[in-house]
Amino acid sequence: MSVGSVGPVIQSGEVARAVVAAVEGDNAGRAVNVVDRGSYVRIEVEGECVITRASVERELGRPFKLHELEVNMPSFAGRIDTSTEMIRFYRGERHD
Amino acid sequence: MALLERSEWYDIARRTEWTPGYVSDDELYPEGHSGDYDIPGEAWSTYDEPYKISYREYVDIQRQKDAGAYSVKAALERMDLRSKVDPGWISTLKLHYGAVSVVEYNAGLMESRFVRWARSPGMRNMGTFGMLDEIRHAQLQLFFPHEYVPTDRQFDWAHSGMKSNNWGIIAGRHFFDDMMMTRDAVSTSILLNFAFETGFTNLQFIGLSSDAANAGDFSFSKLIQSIQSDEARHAQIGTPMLAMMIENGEKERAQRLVDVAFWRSWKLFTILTGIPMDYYIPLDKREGSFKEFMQEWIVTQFVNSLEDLGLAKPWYWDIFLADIDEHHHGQQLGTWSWRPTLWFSPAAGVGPDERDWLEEKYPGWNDTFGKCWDAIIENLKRGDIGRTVPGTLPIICNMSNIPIRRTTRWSTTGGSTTSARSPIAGSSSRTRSATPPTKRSLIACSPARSSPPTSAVCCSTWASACSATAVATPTTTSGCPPTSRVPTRRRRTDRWQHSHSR
Repeated sequence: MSVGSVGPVIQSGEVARAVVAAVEGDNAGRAVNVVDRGSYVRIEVEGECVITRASVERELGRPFKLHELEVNMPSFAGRIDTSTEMIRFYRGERHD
Repeated sequence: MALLERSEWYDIARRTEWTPGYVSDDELYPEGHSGDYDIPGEAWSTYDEPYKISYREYVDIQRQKDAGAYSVKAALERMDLRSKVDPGWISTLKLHYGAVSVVEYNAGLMESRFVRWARSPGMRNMGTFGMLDEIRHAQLQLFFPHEYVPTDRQFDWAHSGMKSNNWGIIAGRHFFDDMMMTRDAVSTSILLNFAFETGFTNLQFIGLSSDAANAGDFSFSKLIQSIQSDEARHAQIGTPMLAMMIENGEKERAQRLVDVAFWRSWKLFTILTGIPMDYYIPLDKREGSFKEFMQEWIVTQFVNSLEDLGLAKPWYWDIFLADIDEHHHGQQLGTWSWRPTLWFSPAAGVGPDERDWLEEKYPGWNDTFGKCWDAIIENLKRGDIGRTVPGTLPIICNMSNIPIRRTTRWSTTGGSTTSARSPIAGSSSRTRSATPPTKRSLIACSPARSSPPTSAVCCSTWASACSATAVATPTTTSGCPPTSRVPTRRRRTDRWQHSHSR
């Protein structure tokens, strides 16, 4: 894990696979690093990591409310902003 | 009728509160409960909890979490796990449940104090969810071990442990009383929510879940990750509080709170997590070493958060880094030696293969801690069990309440250097032996930079256990690494190199 990286830690499984794919789509142009620890995966993006509801729904192939991510997210790196359409992990000053 | 999105009404709902007319502000929020920090009244309205959730959403996801955890347990309890897995894993479970289960109810009380005493409505709101979270954690961790009680009464310590005066339990109880039960709401949110929950609980509740899954205990793996998913949310109670303190000139006190909580948490987790990860869990089930998990969750993730918010690493950082290599190895020697005093059956975990692994993860282990185990093994081979069990109780640090031990590093640095490096002066110079903590010790518990302990105190208990049991009396002093050795990055196993960039 690098110093500036942020992002969620997700329980391994269907949601984790969908979130990895969603993060790759939502953060185009940024390197996405995935660390597999067996029971969990750590998803790392340098500086800022965005996850949108639309992307997760597309990857899962079913409706998904972003607050449901909490069911599978035991931790995250960086600060967090939550809304119904997007979750953002970031460092430093907030960019509201 | 379509529901409004949460973001469209949340701020209005969250800011709704009464303006007190019959009591003064001081009566409503007394310093002892609400904090005496120099934060002006209007600043409290700027508290903006980052991890927002509505009650409707909360109930929905908590139901999903409970359904997941209880379903996994129901499906797997016919596996008869207890009779099939390695005894070392069973000891890991007993250690966890005895030290953690009932404390979760205390954590519920802690969160309820935010609900009443926090000056910010956002903090009170998050505290309400946090309170419900912690009640769930207690109920889960009392229910899950209960299936084992009929065949193994040591699991009863999940419920009865915290009411005992066992020295290990006292250490945990003292920690939690100090960090979450005896301080004001502001201090507690930094000590517990920020330092403890965004930092150290990840080790036990996520790191250990990998080992649990490897060991085949998917119930426990699911359980602790489910619990930590609550923590990830309500731990964020402390983050905006920390930002407010810094913005309002209370940075120094905030840093001190982090320094205190970090040190106390570290010492506790050397036993709670460090020993199981590096000694109890079967070798082929280990996802990584304790040090590697510390590097991931604390040295990198937590410190990144700390520095991102504008605080510094604790002032004793170099001592802490050295301690990662050593401290829990000494505690393992001690807890195994004092095994008749524990509520679980500690595994030694020092067979030939395990020792190779320890040497790989902690270079120098064989020449230091390994020599102590050599002496113990020799005594056992000769059938001299009595020489492997100390005749006295451990000497306990008056702050951390865990047995005092010396690190090999300290033992070779000589008196003056040893003293200069000690982070916990006031407490290490005082010891107790199985007596309950005093009120004074609950308060005077921060790492202090003056009045270092004597080397005699540092070099007492665990090292004595080693030499007392040794035939050839190899002391840790004789086999310690050179003083110039610094913590180095260890070669990782293949699993830990399994990351990829896309």
